[in-house]
Amino acid sequence: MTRRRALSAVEIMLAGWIFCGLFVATSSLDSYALVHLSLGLVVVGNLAVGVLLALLAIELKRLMIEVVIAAILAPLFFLGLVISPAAVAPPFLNQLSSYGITQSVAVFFLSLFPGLIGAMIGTVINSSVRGYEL
Amino acid sequence: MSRTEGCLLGVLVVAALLVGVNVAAAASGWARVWRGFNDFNLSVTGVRVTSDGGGVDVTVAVSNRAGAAIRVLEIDSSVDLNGHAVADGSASPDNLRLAAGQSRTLVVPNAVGTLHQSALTGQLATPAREWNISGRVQIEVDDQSSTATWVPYAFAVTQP
Repeated sequence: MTRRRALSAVEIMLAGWIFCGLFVATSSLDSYALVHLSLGLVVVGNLAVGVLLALLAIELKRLMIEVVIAAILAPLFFLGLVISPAAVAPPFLNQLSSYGITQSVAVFFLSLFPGLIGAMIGTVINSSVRGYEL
Repeated sequence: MSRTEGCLLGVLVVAALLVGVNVAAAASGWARVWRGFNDFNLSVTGVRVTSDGGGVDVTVAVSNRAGAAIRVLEIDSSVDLNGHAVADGSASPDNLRLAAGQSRTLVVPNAVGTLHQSALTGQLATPAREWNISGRVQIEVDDQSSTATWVPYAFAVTQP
């Protein structure tokens, strides 16, 4: 049980980080990123993360909890990234915070909905291809 | 952990690492831009009423103490004399790009509105003049127009 929970925590952290990272590649920070992605590709990426989580979690209730927590973590990671320059430029903390908070709303929904749809696709794969019962 | 589970988790870890490399590059550039904004300096070095009394020229010195180039796009200013608003204006310098460590001086013309003309004339007659110049300057770092931002400034200049 404890091992299962630890594995879930790792999956949630990784998924949240990937959700955040994919958004970075299409946000204002993407001017400095090595790879730039269109919004469509970010949605596809988030769908894929949802599918992966479903294939790992299998159990529907656990899967839903994992996707929702990962979608909550993603904007927190993103907010941390956006406001981090305030450490070297303290006068801009308010400006960075307001930008980060506004964008975090987008990160949350852009992670949650594709993530959930991906989870549903993964669940269908689990039941039809892998033979798991819902 | 089954083999399939291990592979799936591996895919997730590799994806997180790849995304992490991209995020690290983006975060480093993002921090450099904001450090540039922080290391940009603007100071008011002079205030002068034009000969016809219809304007106030504000001389500002801009300097770049950042490691990256900074482009000055626009400067807005409003001028108060002894607590009375007397003029406002803006300047859009043509291609003012400051390399690292470079400084420049420029003049921002401020027009005195008809409503403010009497306030200016009245306050110029007083023996002590305290000018308060405030506004904001729009700059971009590293020629990244997507991150151009407005930086506020405020200065007081006292003339005996």
